Amino acid sequence: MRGAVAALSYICVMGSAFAEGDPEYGQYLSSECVTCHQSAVTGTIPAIAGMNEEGFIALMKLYRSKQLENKTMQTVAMRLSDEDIAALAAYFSALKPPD
Amino acid sequence: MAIVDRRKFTTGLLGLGAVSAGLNLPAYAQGKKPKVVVIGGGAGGATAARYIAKDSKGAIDVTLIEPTRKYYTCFFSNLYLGGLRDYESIGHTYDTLASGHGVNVIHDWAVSVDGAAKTVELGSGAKVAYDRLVISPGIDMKYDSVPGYSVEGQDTMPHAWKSGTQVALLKSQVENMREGGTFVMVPPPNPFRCPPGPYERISMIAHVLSKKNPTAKIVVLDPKEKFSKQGLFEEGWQKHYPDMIEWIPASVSGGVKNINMDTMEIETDIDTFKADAASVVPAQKAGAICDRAGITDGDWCPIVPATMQSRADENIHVLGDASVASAMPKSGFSANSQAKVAAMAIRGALTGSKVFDPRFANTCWSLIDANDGVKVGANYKAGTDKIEVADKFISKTGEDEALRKETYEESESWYTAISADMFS
Ligand SMILES: Cc1cc2nc3c(=O)[nH]c(=O)nc-3n(C[C@H](O)[C@H](O)[C@H](O)COP(=O)(O)OP(=O)(O)OC[C@H]3O[C@@H](n4cnc5c(N)ncnc54)[C@H](O)[C@@H]3O)c2cc1C
Repeated sequence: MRGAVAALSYICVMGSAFAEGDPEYGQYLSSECVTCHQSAVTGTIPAIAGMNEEGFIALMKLYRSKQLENKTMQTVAMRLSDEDIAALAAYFSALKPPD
Repeated sequence: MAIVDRRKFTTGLLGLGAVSAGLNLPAYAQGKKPKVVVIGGGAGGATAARYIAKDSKGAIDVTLIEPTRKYYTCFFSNLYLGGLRDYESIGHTYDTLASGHGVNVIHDWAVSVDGAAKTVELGSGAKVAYDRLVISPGIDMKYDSVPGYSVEGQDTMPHAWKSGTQVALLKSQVENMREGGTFVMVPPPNPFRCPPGPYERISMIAHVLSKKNPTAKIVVLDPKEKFSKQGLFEEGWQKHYPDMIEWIPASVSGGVKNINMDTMEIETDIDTFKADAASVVPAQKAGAICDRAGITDGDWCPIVPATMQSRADENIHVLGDASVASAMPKSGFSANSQAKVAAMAIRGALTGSKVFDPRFANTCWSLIDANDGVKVGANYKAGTDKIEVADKFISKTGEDEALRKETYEESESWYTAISADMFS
């Protein structure tokens, strides 16, 4: 080995002050969503691009509190803070909905 | 030490004045267009190339080195085996990465890496320079881990663990088995690519045989004592293919002692099994280029969780199956997730873009019979030493048919979406 790399030393820009409304943060968080939700509808998984902001927030909170079924979505939502959900809602609602 | 200095500069995002002394300035601070080279255009590499090119909007030069012109996914290759998908539906080209995102795609092998000079040598002899290198070459087989098996034997008893023509070969061997014949599956020992994969393969072969050759048998000679989603698979095998599948752990068989490729005989302590067709999946290790880059420790490549940087060379990021991702399974979903974390870290280091708290995720769907889908998944976080599980879930035994069908349909949607996330 050519010498150990020190542990993480990148700045992590985090926390609500940065998060809300930060399009770069929303975009980064969205990269987890698009593994399954592409901008075109792909079968049973709905497209979320162009989705109404309030609707998005309400749905994610229902998954987070396990009032909506789907284990994948519950697990995704579990680690999202209110700020994370707001950043995602802002990001996806600003995208063009699928044709 | 130079390593530490450079990292401070890239991390601190200091004003240029503060780093004017630096020989260690990142490329962007020197006014040069930074270069990223990606070795391997699979789940990890294609995603990394696409995200770095797309999100840097031309500020980073991205070169992807991949020998094949069409990538056939391992994911869903079992559905092709089961007759539920056609072969071409799992093949993807690199055309849009090049035309839509400006990735410079070179169809060649990377044969060596010079970490000091920061260059990759190609099969053609050409050298490609990088500021950051991404290595995602997947796995290589340790053929001698199964006595009697060899690289020459792979067409007789295909491992079919790298997709492509081997899977087509295995499919025709299964379909041409004699009536009432025996199919033998030898799964690999841990750790290996796609933990539920061998058991989904068994399910899909049983699906084919139950229709075409219902008196055929499947014998599984497992080197392990337990396997992924075991309760779900065993319940499903009993339900859909009663008496067809016999799973024998090493504690019972004593493990495979020898394989005779000519007679198709597989010897264990309890019996010698004569196969009419077989799939032998040996133990695995990181793709050979990792050894040549000097980034392996044993069979795999240790990484720094938050950035997927190699522990041996901070300019190299290792993704997917080749990396030691601890709690994350070696899956396409994992490789895709790791690629996004690495892409963010690389853009941060090379262009000063924002770097957020890294998050990883994985879900592995498996199909037990047509419309009987199950899944296991988790969220992960970057610990200091390891990638750690945050929250996890798994399908339950006894779920109703409607939920299983929904889970299967979800997997089909996922396949379309992740393919687009890699190649569109
Ligand atoms: C039967 C089966 C079923 C599976 N099902 C699923 C599933 O349902 N879901 C899931 O998430 N995962 C699944 N997987 C796992 C998944 O396929 C792998 O985990 C994933 O492909 C790993 O990505 P990777 O980038 O590490 O490697 P790969 O996707 O294998 O990509 C590696 C690429 O690197 C190239 N390469 C290698 N060496 C070099 C070199 N020296 N120079 C240039 N290029 C090189 C190769 O040609 C290849 O294209 C399955 C696997 C199998 C075998």
